[in-house]
Amino acid sequence: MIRLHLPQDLATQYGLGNPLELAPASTLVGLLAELSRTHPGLASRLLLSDGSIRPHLNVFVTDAAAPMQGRADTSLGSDDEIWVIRAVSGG
Amino acid sequence: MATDTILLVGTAKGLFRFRSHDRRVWRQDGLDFPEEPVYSAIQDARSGMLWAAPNSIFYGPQIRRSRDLGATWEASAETPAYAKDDPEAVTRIWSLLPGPAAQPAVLYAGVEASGLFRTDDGGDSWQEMTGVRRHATHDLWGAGFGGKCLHTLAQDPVRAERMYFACSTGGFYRSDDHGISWSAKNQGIRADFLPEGRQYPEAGQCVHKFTLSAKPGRLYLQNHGGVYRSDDSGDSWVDIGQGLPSDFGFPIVAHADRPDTAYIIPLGGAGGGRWPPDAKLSIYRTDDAGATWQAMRQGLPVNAYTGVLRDAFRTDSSDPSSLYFGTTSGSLFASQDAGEHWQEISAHLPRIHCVQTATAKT
Repeated sequence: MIRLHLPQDLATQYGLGNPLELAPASTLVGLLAELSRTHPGLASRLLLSDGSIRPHLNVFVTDAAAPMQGRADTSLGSDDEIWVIRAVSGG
Repeated sequence: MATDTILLVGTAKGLFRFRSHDRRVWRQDGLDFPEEPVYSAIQDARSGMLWAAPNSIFYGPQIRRSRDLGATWEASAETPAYAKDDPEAVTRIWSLLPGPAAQPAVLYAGVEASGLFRTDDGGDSWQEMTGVRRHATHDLWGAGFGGKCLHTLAQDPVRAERMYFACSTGGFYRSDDHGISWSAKNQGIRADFLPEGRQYPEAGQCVHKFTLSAKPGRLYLQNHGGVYRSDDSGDSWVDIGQGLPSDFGFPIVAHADRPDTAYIIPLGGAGGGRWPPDAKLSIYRTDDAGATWQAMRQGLPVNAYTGVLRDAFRTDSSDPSSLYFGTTSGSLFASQDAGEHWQEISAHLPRIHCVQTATAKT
């Protein structure tokens, strides 16, 4: 299973527990598409229409030291743990 | 049954709601979408439902609806978006307009980059009205300081097939076929940011706001330099800015019943700080369709180095008119006598983007 940690404000808006235990998917795009079947619109909150990660979000996968950049079609393992985190922003 | 007045105040950091029984004593009634910039929040007169468009820096724009006057908000399943291979993207939602009374599930949304969307199912799905961005003048549209936005939408109250929009920069456009195709209607509107001799183009003007009036075919318009009136639904415009201390500003509102009465809030033009002339925050009212203007500032501050944005000024249908506006420095003002006297309802809010009135039965 894949464990997905969402920003808490987004999880609250969609009435989701956090983190989520989800069936494996080959990419983050696929994982979020599946989640959007039961929670319409959720994927578009995290990804732009061209499939890239929204610019003020960071996505970390398992032990990666740096966030996933750009497109969200990077391959996922079947037991990866993913954190979606609001990027450093102030003001 | 009594009626409360609600003010929907969209700011750079959320939607604030204020409520009053008598329109003199106000209390803050709620804060929705904290941290998220809100440029449009309205009450749909057909259903009483509230609509708002928070634009999260993290999660992008979203259209929300409330069936209980803001106590709870639902998210629409889909958000207006351009196709994945489109060179432009929808980054913010600037304007919301309920559709005709006979089509209660229809709503329109004006977006950045300038474009127009329509829902036929109460907000669950959105389709782009492609005639807007396919207009022959689309290449002339650019981004003003606020962005490249379609910020104002209106439905003609007499002719159901007639709609209007304005975008910055771009100008004023009219459709006579329910929004399928559009015509640029900028004849007489000056673009003073273009070289001499080229300041009256077909399109490319920076229209800050327009409003319908109580008289069919009459509109008022505040331009990026220039205040205008049209008596032929935008086919031609006449400059009515003479006598004002500055013809630069953002909002313009019209009296609900008196077509000769309109209100503006002038700001200094280029080199004038974009704050009120002489730093005296003032409303200017015309009662003769723009031939003359009267300044009103009783209760408003001096030494006011602030501004009022295009959607942050509103009136209602009461008599005498109630007027409300919010400033970029977070003050919210109200007048219950057509602008003669003002009270500050709230201060120290975030930068105010929009002010709208709503009602609640009590």
